[in-house]
Amino acid sequence: MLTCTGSAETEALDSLHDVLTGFHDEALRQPGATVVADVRGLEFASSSCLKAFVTWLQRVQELDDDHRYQILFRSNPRHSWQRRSLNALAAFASGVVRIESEAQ
Amino acid sequence: MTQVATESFELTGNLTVADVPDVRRFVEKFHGRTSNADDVSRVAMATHELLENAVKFSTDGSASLRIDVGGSQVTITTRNRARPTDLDELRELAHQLASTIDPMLFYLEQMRRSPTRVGGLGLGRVAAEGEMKLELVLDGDMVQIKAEATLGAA
Repeated sequence: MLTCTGSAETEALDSLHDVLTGFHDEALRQPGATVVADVRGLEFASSSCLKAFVTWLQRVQELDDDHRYQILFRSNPRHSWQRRSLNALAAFASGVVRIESEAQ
Repeated sequence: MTQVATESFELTGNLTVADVPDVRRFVEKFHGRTSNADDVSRVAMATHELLENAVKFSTDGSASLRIDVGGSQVTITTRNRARPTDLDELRELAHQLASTIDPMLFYLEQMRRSPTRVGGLGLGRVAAEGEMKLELVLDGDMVQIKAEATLGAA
């Protein structure tokens, strides 16, 4: 499970990209898995960091059916930006992204 | 006649990308006294994205931010000087955004593209997630981007 807390500021972009690449590589070793991304404690994410998530989703979309996996985002309704941003990610990668909203 | 209360916040100076989160947090606090959480989130996000673009692409290191709130209207304005190639890219982005039926389509297209020099993803986010109307004004090498929204309407 990927857990993100604090603020995903643009300066953290390289680290975030590396972490997401690691989760992608790990998920490829477990076909059919669902990766849980718990962002309930994430207070903000800049568009640069959202792009890192988009790049991750693009890589999943490009996989063949046997290797494709789902990503379940756990979001916090208290952070309304999450609803807006995660809905956009779900629109971008329908069939890959699921969203569960629950308070922390 | 009803008087509409107005509040303004203005910042001009040599800023870095590392300063932008501090400005966003201040805006959240400043704006959070009078607005609901969703409006505060929209204004803070738009402030972050527009100011970060202005700082990143400023050619002289200086950028300015102004936020005006009057009644249910909020206007966020950023200004910076930019390179000619960035101005051309901004013009193209503004044209694409103006001609799209749904800002979300523009936003999703920016997600598909490689990152643009002038921050197309951030502009798309402000328009789509922030539900804000964007206006680009170019005067020589000066870029002014204005984002307007009606609070409580989203």
